[in-house]
Amino acid sequence: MSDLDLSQVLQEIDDEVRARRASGDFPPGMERDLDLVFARFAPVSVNGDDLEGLISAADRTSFIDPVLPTESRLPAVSILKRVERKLLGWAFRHLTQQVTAFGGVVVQALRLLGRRVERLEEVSAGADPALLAGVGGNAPAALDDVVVAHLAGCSGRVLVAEAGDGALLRRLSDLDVYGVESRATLVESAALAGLDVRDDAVLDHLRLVEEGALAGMVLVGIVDRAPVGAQVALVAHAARVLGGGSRLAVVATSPESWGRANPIEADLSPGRPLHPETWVHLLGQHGFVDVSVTERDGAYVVAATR
Amino acid sequence: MPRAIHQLVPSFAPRNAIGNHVLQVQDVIRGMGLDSEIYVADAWREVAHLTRPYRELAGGDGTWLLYQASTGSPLAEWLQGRPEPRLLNYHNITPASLFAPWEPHIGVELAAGRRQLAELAAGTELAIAVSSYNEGELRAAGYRDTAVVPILLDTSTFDRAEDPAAVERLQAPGPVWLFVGRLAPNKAQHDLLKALSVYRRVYDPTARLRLVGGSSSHAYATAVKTFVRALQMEDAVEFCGDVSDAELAAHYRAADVFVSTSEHEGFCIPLLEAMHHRLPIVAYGSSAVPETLGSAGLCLRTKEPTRVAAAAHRVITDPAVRAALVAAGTARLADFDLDRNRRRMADALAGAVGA
Repeated sequence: MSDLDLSQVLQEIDDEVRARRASGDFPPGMERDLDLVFARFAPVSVNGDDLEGLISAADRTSFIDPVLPTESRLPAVSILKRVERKLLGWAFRHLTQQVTAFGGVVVQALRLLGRRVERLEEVSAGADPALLAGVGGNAPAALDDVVVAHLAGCSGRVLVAEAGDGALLRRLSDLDVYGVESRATLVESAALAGLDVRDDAVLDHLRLVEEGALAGMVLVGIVDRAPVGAQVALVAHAARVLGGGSRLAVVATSPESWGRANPIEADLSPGRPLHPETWVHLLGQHGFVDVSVTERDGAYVVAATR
Repeated sequence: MPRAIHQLVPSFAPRNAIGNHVLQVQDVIRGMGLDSEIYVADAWREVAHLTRPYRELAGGDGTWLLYQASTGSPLAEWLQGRPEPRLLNYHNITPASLFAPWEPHIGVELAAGRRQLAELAAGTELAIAVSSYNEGELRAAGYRDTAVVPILLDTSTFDRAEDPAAVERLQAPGPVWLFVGRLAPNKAQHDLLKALSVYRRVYDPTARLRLVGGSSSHAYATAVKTFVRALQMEDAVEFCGDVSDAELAAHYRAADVFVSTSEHEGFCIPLLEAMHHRLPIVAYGSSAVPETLGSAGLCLRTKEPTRVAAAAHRVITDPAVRAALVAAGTARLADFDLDRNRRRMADALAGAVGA
């Protein structure tokens, strides 16, 4: 057996992927487009959490057909099946009516639950994101240089979540970087600018990323507006998807300046920025090391290593 | 004193990895001087004569029961009420979440299998896993005494004569990717198609993929075939279905690389077949794949289509990498030597029952 260094070969493959992304051989959005094409053929529950779509699917399939198929390649068998259907038809009807009735009741219960969850969301979560269109949404940029320095040399995939208007992605273009953004207008403009931005909610995207798959991550934007539970979930996901030695940067607006800088966004958002000390605490709990805080112009960066 | 170790198998099929394993285990137990019969909930007609219905099990003093756990089964519920001391051999149960959106009824069966696995933990004296990955799942399910013995596999059965007609028919002008496994959501053949699409667009438009194996999900198979049409790769992707042993050997011979993007494997025997047929491997390192593969293939941390395509390209076009992987595969295969693993199984069983 020869002395092949597998890790070296894998590193060279990573380098090639990065170079081809940079050269445009692997155009931004190519993988996202493939995902979208397959998603058209997959059940609704495979992609995201489309509750209404799932309930509709349950509704469609809850009717159990009592009529047995009688086709057969052999005419005699077909006749036999027809006789069987005639003899046992009443029994199948009796059974399937009960199953269909049960399915119908379950679907109605699910619809009721869905409506209750919607009402709960209306009163407990933030306003419809559409109300924030054109208001705020700009992540603090004063500390971009700190982020760029922290991530310099990351060898592997780097995620910026949320990508926003793509400014930070451009600053990190030396890296194998991509973004996630749920605001459709921003995704479109990023795609037109040739940036690799996935149209997805950050937490939904992170659930799909493989363990240890990323070499770096920037959490920005979402950390200003998300509810506390979502922010804690972000740390857990980051700990899972970042490999050993990977870098994380949390870029947020200082709580003290949040309302002043973005009053409308602050009022309509479901959450608010955490204090940097809270991020330091959470990251330490999840095993991140070398945690440092840089504060400037009403914003801060918490940098850490996995 | 132990008198017998009888195996309990939910479904016993011929030419099947678990079926062959069960026969090997029976031989091992009999070699220890103990009685051993195979009791099943279901058996294919051609191997039914090797088995007995589980409800005919008499049991009694000195009888131990070895349950082969691979899916949900009424047999597992029945087993919980049995007085005999119990052993368990775990082959893995696919997480229901991978199947449920596609085939809800299979999802229910798999979920039941996982629940039963946890319920059997309390009264099980020793649980033997076919991989360390599976052992981890056993421990998470509450098993305290566990061991690892790889699946008992006679790799000499991989030495099949190739079907000459198939070898001729499978000649292709461009590089050929091969994957062997049933069309199933956990095998994630759709991710292979994404990678092939990238490969054909960037590296070689003549590349093709052969998917060998039947289907475990009509809904998933339909989606995958529709996906092929949407990608306009009808001429590049072959759904070969179940094939004979001789045809399978021809497929391995005709391919340039074995590529797997499988999401969940408890062991993954086709990796060993590929090693045996000197076919280099590129595989996404999910579940038990890194353990089975060892250093005998390119094990990818992610299965982004670009990365899978780049890795396949490297293996296909770099003779040094290719030769090294083939050599490493041959060496790795020796770790699954049947005699050695039979001894390990005998030791594990003897230690548990005190034989």
